[in-house]
Amino acid sequence: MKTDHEDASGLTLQELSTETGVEPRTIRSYVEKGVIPGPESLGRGARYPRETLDRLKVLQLLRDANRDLTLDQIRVLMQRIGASQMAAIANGTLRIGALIDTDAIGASQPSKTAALDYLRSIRGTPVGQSWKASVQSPSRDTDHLPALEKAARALATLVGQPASSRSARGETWYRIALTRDIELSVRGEFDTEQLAQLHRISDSLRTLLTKGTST
Amino acid sequence: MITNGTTHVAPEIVAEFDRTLVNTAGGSVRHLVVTIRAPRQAPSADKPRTPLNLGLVIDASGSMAGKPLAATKAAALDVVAALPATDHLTLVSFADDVQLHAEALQLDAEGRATIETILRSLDTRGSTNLADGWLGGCTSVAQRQAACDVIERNQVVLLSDGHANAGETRPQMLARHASELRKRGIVTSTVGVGHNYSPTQLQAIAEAGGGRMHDAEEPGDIAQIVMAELNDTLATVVDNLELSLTLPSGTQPEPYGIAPFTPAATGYDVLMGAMLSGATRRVVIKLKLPAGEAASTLAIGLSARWTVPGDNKRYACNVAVPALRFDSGNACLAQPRDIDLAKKVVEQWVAHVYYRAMVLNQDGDGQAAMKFVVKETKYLHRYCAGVPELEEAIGGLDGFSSSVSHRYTAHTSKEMMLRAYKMGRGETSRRSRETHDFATLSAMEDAARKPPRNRRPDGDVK
Repeated sequence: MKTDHEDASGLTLQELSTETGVEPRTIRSYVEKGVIPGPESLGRGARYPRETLDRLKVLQLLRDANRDLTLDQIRVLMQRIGASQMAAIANGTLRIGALIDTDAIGASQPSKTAALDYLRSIRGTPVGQSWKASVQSPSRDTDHLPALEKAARALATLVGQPASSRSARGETWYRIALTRDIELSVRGEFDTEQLAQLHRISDSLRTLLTKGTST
Repeated sequence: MITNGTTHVAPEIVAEFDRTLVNTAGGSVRHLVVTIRAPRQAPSADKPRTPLNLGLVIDASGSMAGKPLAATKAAALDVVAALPATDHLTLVSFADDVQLHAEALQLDAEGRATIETILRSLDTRGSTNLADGWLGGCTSVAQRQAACDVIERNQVVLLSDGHANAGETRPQMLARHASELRKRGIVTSTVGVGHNYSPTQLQAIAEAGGGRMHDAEEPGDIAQIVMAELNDTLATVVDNLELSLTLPSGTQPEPYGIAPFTPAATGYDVLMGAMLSGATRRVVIKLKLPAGEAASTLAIGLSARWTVPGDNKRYACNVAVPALRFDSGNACLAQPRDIDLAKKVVEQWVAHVYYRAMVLNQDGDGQAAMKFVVKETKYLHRYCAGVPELEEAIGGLDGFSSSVSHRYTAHTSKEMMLRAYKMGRGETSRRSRETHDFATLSAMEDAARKPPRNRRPDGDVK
């Protein structure tokens, strides 16, 4: 249903702000970070499509549902939710909770091998083989994706949208403390050798900054 | 009041509302305050304590070089010396790689000597693959758990000074694994070492893992904190405590504090984790309520589930929650308020504001952080109006709102999040120097940001 101030060409920034309670400046920052699309036209009277209002509402609901989600994570999640689901969540007919599954807790304690089975499933270590021999990152098996993400993927499948690659999960920053007050932040994905080189550079910087007094 | 119908160890759980009348027109906000008290249990000489299957996971990345690693090794030696021969220890270190130094080693004389030798040769190397190190330690603990016929306390203590920058780094994913392992009997606690680590990852693991997070800012604190954590572990009387909240349609909840709060089919689950003998925990949940007919009531359902260390069963109970009754707006405004309960609400609310604002601040969204603080401060002022002791508790927020739009240093951010974490859990810090209060930390950040004359430019480097 359209509101009084909304016309066929969409909503202004101020109207979006009034509808959602999100400050115009914050909405602009969401656009800059790619969480919501920009206006369809430029200039003072620029108008945003109706779907932008839904996206803003869903963004707020996602933030309320999980306070640990970063904007990058929210952006990736929202890319996987179709327009109809977005509208349903925004107008309250589909609860954000319905997107997030929880594990029912049984009446009795799990078996004593349950933890080991779980670790083997996420670390890919064959039964009977020492984990030490095959240290690796947790698998990307969808069985162990965060519930929210799993639900979003399921929704995307329902509406025929392919799930985007998990490698597109935003930028990565490496932060290395040089001294108590100075930190080195480097953006990018690095392999082991590059990381080691980065740490050697950090060590040199630390020595320079502390004149060798740092431990 | 609880109705668990058992004679086993059970927490005392009390649920209260700050006000019980709600507006028929809808939109009333009421706070549900749930207080949980664990029973006090003195150690019994007749009943030996549950043996410990302990995993110590040590960060050996380059930034731990020098005092931090030396102090961590000393802490591990203290642990080895303090535990009896009935306990078992797994020792893992991680950097780029993960090294398993000892797997479920019995802490008899020979085992202790072996661990001492290993620790002496342990040195730093490379970057911080925290997830693989932690999961590696969990795997060894799980292997003993699977093979052992005796009921043991399966515990992993993870010590790190860093921001994980290799392997799995997402707090949400780390929390997911920690939660799954907790449900399967392995509890994880974490110790943050040094000044500049990011507490987000370590908090995610400890909170979802049913354990505790500690801060060891000075290397000299590490041994004391690790020993305190072990003592806490052994004093745990209620484990894996979870609350389930069933809400009427149209009710919108928002939890204060940082206890993991998970939407479920009929409401929400709140993980409270482990509780020590005699400890008190509190969770405050803000509820925005729907409209209703005058004199009708609104029922909120609350239940709890937990386990008891050394026992292989799971217990549950229902908790009585006062009914909310619909009335006119004027009657709602005129209803009296329990000031002591309101104080508890304000304390958790304020901690929540600081914590959430710092998450936004560290996310680079300073404007959103400022708006959030301004909005919440406005509501807090309204909530506290006319009660000086409540107004005093929110005094620092006005200054905070003006400074939080600028990115805080990693150290101040860590300190503020830790203080909010401890307040949210009703815990005191174990370290030798107590954290400053929020207002002091915020003022220190402001002062550091002003460019003083003739000062050498330093600060965060990007």
